[in-house]
Amino acid sequence: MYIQAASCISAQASFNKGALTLKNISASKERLPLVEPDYTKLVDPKLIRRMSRIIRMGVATAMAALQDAELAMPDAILMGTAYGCLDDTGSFLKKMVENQEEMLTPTAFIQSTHNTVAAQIALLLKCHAYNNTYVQRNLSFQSALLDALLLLQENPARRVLAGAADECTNYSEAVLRRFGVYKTLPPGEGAACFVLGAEKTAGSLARVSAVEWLASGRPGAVADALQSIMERTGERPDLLLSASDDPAPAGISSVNYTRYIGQYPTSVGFACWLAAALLSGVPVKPEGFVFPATVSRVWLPATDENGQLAIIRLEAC
Amino acid sequence: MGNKVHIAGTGVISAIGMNLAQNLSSLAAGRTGIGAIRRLPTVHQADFPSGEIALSNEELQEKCGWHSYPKNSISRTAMLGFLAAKEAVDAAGLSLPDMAGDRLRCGFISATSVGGMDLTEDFFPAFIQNPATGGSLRQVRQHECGAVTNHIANALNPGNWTYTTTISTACSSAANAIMLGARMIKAGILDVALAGGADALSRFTLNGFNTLMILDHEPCQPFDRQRRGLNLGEGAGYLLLVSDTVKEQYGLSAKVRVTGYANANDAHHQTASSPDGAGSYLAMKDALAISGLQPADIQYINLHGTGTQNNDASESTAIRRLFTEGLPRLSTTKGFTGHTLAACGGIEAAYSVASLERQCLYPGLRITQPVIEEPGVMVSSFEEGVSLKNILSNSFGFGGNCSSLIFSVS
Amino acid sequence: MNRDELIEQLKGQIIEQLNLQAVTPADIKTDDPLFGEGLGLDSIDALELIVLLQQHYKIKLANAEEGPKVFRSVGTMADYILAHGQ
Repeated sequence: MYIQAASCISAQASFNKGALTLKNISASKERLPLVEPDYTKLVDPKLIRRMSRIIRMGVATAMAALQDAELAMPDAILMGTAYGCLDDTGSFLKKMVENQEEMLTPTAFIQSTHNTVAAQIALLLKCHAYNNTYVQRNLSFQSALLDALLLLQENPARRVLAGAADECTNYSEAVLRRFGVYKTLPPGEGAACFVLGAEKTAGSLARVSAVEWLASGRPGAVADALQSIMERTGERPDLLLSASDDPAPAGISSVNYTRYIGQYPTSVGFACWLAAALLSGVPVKPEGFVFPATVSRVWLPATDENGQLAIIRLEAC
Repeated sequence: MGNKVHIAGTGVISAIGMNLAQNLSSLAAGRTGIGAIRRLPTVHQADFPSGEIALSNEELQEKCGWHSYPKNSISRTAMLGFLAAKEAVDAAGLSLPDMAGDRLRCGFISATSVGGMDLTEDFFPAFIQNPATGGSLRQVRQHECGAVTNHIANALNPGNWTYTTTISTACSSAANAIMLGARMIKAGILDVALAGGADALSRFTLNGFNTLMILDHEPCQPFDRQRRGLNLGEGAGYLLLVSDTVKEQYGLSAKVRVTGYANANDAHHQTASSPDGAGSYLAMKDALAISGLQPADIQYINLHGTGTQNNDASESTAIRRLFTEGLPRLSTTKGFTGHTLAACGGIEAAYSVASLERQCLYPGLRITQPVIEEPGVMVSSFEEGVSLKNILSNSFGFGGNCSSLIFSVS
Repeated sequence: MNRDELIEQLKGQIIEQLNLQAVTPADIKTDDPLFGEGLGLDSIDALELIVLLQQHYKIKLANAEEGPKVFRSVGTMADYILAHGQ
């Protein structure tokens, strides 16, 4: 499966094309502001009025990726989001409590469902194709990618739009701070979308060689799992991009990429975008870290509280 | 062609029964689960009849055997989901050691629309008063849909799921979970898939549907000309899907298969269905194509049939466009259970499998002036001894998400 | 409040309730249709307007079907409020 186009909105200038320096923001305590494009250039202003930030980000990165891939109508739309539309959820809950369940308005409710981003993309494109939304915590995007692989296996002629998006709100930030989530790195948010196909096109950025799902049953089994995949496949990644500081197998360069974008559950969307950029030769320089001189294989490992592992393996194409 | 997808077990919990057997006997007896809300604390208890499960959270937690968890720390969605999912596994006759990760590749694919919202909405009043300290954090540990799934997965068979995921596509969620499970088995990625969905009643959903003015103040009358809207419900429904190899190797009795599935988008409006039922037409048509069947091969459709003006008009239009040579028998069970949102596709899949296994048709309730007027089409009373080979089940939702499943006798 | 003042007030309230970005009260013509062409409002906006009537004018529409008639234009909304308001 090839990444034929990619688009990303984050706390870095990732939406722009070309060379990029990733500022190290790990010292910040506050929620990181997004570097956002002018959405009115990408989405009909009449439709923007109901869109919360997650919907705008998701739709804008979708439109940009489709434009780059010169694809008018995808054969599937897949989204991964852990929290979904938190802003609309929060505002409906707040009004419900304050108004004691009376005189509520529908807009926040209908925009609060987790499938809103994928649905709005379909609505904008008038796209009747397969449409799905995965909400599996930090592994939501990996689920969307696995579905994309399956869709292309079923019919290699398809071209699939797959993405990840999560927003941070005052409410979610307050709750997650209380859980101690932001002790080391600040809150973040962002979206990324990819056009995927079985064919290598002229503009293809990277190849997704696998999305491996494994049961480990115990947290912290990432390094072991990576080691066993390396033994089984005979492949060795040049770089690991991870949302945690889990130890990497000996001798493999590894970086916790959330030091550049802050923490949010589907941040692996950013990592996938970054990997595609590096593998396609875009000069990206991170502050406080040096990428290996040649990067031809990047793996993105992740795990959850049940010890479920999902590892995206990317390579240059 | 890939693997065949066999249904080795089903599990259901809803307002008409705590397990499959109770659900089926209520359906056969025409006993509705719709009534005044008693458990959910809401100012609308008397306004909107609903399909509420009678057991309290404490009773459900007891039934799950989750004694060690503090009160108000487990979402009702997780409890409903666990009970139905466990019933599906137990019914299959596949033991949990059989389902160990090093023996079989097992997936848990669960669906929910609001996850742990039932607890989050209890957390909120104190929280918005004082975000820094208000409300107990244990009430939001399961806010995320995926947290509910992970809780169920871990309670069922810890560390043994090759794949765990959650789908949230509003009211079509469980149908999409079953579809994904079937596709993964067919592709040889999984040997076993436990797939379905769960949703608990919440004030969030009840008030949300109320803002859309589509809740019926009386027991709903889906597919009737006098329909006024829908009743909400709660529950869970799961199927245990297995490959050919697993069925043979473990000698499982699985008489029904998933033969067709499709997911399409209406691309018309965030909440309303298109007048011509573009999305639902495509979902049914594509599901037939996957199964290799013709419209005439379908003997019965389990309708989405919510009881709203919009859904029932759109769905019946789509059915008429596709089934031009004659309509299959039709009914919707939402008059029994209420609309269980992300769970309905799972619950109604279990009913459809039972119809095929027992060669019977379950009725719709309270139809006096059917939307489909041709005599003998709507199923209005329990019918036994019918001849059924293939059933189509529809689940359509917000965001234009439309999915159809086809179940067939092996 | 006379009809003209009510109409001006309504225009502001509609813009706020429906989050009509970049629309000013002057852009809304009193007798132009609110739905379909023009402002491009849809069925969700109609439900929002029902709550607007309830919140600001204590008028409760019994069912959504009344909506299209009442919300045809700002003018018809004002007439309905004048006829039914307290």
